[in-house]
Amino acid sequence: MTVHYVYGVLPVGQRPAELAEGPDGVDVQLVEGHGLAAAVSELPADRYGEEQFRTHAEDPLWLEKLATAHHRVLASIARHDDVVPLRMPTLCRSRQSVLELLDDRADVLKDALTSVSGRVEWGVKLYAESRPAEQQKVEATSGRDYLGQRMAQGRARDEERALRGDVVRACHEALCAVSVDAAVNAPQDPALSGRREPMVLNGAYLVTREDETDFLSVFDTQAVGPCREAGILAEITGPWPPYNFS
Amino acid sequence: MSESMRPYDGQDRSPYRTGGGNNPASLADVLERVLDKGVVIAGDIQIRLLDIELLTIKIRLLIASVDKAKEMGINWWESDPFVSAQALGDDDEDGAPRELQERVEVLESRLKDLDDGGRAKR
Repeated sequence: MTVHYVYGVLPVGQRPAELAEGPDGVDVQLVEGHGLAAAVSELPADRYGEEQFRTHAEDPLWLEKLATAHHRVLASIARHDDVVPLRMPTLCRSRQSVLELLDDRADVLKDALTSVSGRVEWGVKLYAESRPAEQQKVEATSGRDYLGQRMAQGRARDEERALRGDVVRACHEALCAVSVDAAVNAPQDPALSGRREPMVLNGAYLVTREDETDFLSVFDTQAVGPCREAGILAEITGPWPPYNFS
Repeated sequence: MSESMRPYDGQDRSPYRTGGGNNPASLADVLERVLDKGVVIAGDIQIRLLDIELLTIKIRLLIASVDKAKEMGINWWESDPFVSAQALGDDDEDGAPRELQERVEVLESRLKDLDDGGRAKR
């Protein structure tokens, strides 16, 4: 018994220049039909079947292994070719039902392919560094004095926050100007990002392959520099398969 | 903290790289995309995975317990280049952990010394 695990969809008749292995070294095949090609692995049902998914639906270790394989396959294709990533997991009982899936959703998938054609995704995350208060702490001589100091500190904090907000917006707009589309995702929790500093932007940008150099240079000049001055850390990841734009 | 989570430093930053890179995609970034993005089309087997929010909480717990998992020997991700920067940085091309590699080198050089010594005597 096997299940057909679908990673993503490609234009038909195009053998990707690279195609990584699925989980446990299983082959990835192209199932072609209705003007589309699905990247599919036939996986043993006793390891990756419906029952296994139900049992492991809340098991991060098990899911991560599969998520990693899912990404590996899509990333290998997207390195040179167009691909529309499907959300994990997309499972079919047979090759025939993969073909039916392509038939049923041909319009949506073809539209998605058109919108990502020749484009990849870049991720930019900004983190607000905590900076020591710039003002010298002066011993308050009276209650009035103390309140005055507190208010001044509050104003300084508000100003810094406003400045950072402006820098983050300017940075995002500069990146948008060199991309076709952008998505702003919820900031990751420090436990996930691996950084203590709070994330203030979790952006994804759809960039035409020919414009990648421009995008990176805009990141270098219009994000990293101004951000550093404002106490913001800029991090870039990519190129990714167009997960956020499919 | 893994190397994959450090800030931009002008190094190669491509998550496509399968080897030799020093800044592969972080696990959190991969999960965020794979589980929460992409086209949703249901196959004839319908699976509802855990809500991404709940999964995130679980992953937080997992990250906290990674060291514990290692103790138990469930550390497949360490050898997976897409998950672990360490796997790329520390392992040889053939996947041998550096520590082992070094031990082999030490043993080989001792063997050579013994061999040379033996030859000199002859």
